[in-house]
Amino acid sequence: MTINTNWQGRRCIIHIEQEMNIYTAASLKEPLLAPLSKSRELVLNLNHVSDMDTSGVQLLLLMHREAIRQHVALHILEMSAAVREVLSLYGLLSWFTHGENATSFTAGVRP
Amino acid sequence: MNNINADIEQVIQTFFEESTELLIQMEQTLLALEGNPRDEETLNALFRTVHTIKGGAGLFGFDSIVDFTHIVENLLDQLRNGRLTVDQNLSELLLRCKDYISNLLDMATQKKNIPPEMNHVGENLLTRLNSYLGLAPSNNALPHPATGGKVIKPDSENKLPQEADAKLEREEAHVINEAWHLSLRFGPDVLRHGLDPLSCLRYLAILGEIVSATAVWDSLPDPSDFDPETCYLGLEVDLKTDATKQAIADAFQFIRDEMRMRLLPPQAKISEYLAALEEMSGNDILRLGDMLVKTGALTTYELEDALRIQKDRGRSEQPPPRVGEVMVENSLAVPEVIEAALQKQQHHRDQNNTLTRHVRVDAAKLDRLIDLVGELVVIGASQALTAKRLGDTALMESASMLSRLVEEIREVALRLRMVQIGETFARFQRVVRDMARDLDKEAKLIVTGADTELDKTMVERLADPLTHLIRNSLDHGIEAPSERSSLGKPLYGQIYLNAYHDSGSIVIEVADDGRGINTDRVLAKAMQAGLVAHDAKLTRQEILQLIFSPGLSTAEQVTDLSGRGVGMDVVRRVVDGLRGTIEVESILGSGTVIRMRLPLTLAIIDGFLVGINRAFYVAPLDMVVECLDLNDAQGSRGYLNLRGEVLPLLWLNRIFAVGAPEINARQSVVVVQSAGRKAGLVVDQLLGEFQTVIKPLGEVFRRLSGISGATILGSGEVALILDIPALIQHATARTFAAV
Repeated sequence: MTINTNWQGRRCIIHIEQEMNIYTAASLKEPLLAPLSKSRELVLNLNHVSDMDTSGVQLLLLMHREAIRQHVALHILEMSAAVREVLSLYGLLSWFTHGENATSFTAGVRP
Repeated sequence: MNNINADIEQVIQTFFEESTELLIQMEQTLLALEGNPRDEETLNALFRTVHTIKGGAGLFGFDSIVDFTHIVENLLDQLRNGRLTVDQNLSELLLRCKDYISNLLDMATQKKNIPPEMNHVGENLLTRLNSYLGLAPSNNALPHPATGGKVIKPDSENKLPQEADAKLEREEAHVINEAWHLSLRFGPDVLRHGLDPLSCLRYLAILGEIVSATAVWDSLPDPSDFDPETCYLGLEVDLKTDATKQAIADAFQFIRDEMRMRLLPPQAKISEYLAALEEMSGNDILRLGDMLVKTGALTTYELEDALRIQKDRGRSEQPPPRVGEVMVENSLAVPEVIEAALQKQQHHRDQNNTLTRHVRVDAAKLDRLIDLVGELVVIGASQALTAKRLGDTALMESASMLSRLVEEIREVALRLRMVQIGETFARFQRVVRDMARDLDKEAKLIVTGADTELDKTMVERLADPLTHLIRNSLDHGIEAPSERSSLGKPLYGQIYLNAYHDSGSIVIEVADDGRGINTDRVLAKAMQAGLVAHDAKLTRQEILQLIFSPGLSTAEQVTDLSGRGVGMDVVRRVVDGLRGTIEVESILGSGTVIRMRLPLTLAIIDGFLVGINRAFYVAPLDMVVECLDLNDAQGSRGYLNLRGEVLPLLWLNRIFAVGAPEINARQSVVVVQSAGRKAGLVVDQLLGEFQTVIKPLGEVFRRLSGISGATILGSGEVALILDIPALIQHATARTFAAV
């Protein structure tokens, strides 16, 4: 289980360096959702996610929704080929790639 | 080639006719909805109506109609789903939309382009429709195939991906029809069972080209309830492929038990299914499900599902739902394909029973038939007469059988022309509603006897007079709400439209509970206008009849009289033209009834034949009350005492100047009745009942009073048809003059 969470003030950077699938989903929920309530900006690095399935996609979607609810800016910094393939199959790629420039995808930022 | 074009023309014509009927239905449904805005059945009916028009219009390429009805349909769908509710404004808007669709249809019928001012109306309506749909006018809400045309409205939270994809979606809009649409929903445990929706997607990508795939994630729960191992996602996929529906469905075979899947074929496929259905014949036409599977419109899985649902529901519902219904409700197959299959089945059944339910016939052909039947009646009578003269028993027998058959044919032929008056009546709901609103009055139209049948030509000719009468009732009869409440009347003015059969004629009444007609003022006005002599003594009925005089019909006078008048002379003229009579009853302060009495048909009458000094006359049988011997004592006095009732007597030989009767000839009296008044006609011979075809008199004789037409007797002689109402009028006037 390798999830590195770094805080820079209210900015939280999460590196996930493991699979995001049905085998790990249960263990990912807490570390991915908990920082939302404490941060103003959350950055995900998925560059080392070796495998992703539908449960992983669900987690990302849930994070996204909660980020908007809690007025947190959520970025995806980088993603691996596996993540890219799955997101593109689900028609979510054009949406998540915004985060690669590490700027956009900031709906609902608290003023 | 020409033939094909002519065929298509005919089909298009049928589409126009049916659409017109549907629009009338739509109006009625909308009006019904005002009274009961949440009624599911009514909302569904409304949706179906618009949907059917859209479907037909699409088939014939009337794009303007399709585009417009599509948006209307979207709105109706929102109503059906309970996301919107009908209120006064919306109902008004929908009625206007109905009018607009009707105009579009007219334009299409006349093969005209839509004029710019009409386009403007259309755009206006679209803007209003879209504002209800919560959309900007530019984004004309493309239908989402997966949801049967409903607009998917993103939640505010879900907006982001939708926005990002909006442009894409628009670009794809034109290809969507060529692709299959797959709507996939997965059971909660699929992930735990090692079945990932992703693998379905990967498989589909092998089967064809995935044009677009969109994750549906609106069922993601709150984080606290979120179980990472439960599947909450669904998929909407557009797939371009040559594979059959069955092959696509097979892709999900391994996960089938844990998912719901709807496959929507592309437009081209639907045409393919329809064509396949069209080609089916004889032994192929079995059960609905088998037919659909055979054409490829339904997969075997879907059929299993449908049958299972039908069986389940059959336990609790009586009668159990039909398999076609189940398929539509669960969107297992496209409704139009099911519809086509059902029609095919029905058609097949009908063929087996050598029965078709409806045939559309050109009215002119029907007229020709009735003309011929009319001639047949005359010839039949002639033959019977000849047989009688020859005294040949066998011939007489066959003649009487023939005349019985001819009578039956006549009845049937006449019934072919009969239509229920309800359809004509129904349109007045709208007249009353719109006009009451314009006049700031409250009024309800109450229709009774809508199933009364009468001749189609009469129905058509009655539409205008009825409109006049109803407008008059509303305008001059019904008081303003404030006045009504101060009079202690119910706030809602009531206008009754009633039709019923009465002794061989049809009676149509227009009544209201308004202020009634002030006869004194009508009389005063009529004298002023010089219509009546200043010293004239008129009966109440005669005064009331004055409202039909042309001289009293200008608007100013009408308002002065606080009575009726606009176009009332027109009403009179139409009713006269139909050989009908018109009566008025009115009680000041509590209302007016206008009663039109019309013959059932214009072509044939049952007559009573009489002879006057070797000339023949026919009195319409339904006006003949009884026949008596003429008593000398009564004859000289010019009136008849019939069981205490005094009736004026008319000597027809004097009126028509056919010469004095033979001396000592026994004379008879035929008592006739019209519009509640009776008179006795003195004739030389009673010749009995006689069925006859009316031939109108030539222009030269048109002005003859007392005669309404002529007919040819079996012997070839001409008999004149008596205009009984005119004669009674004459008799009454003379008697009063004598007194």
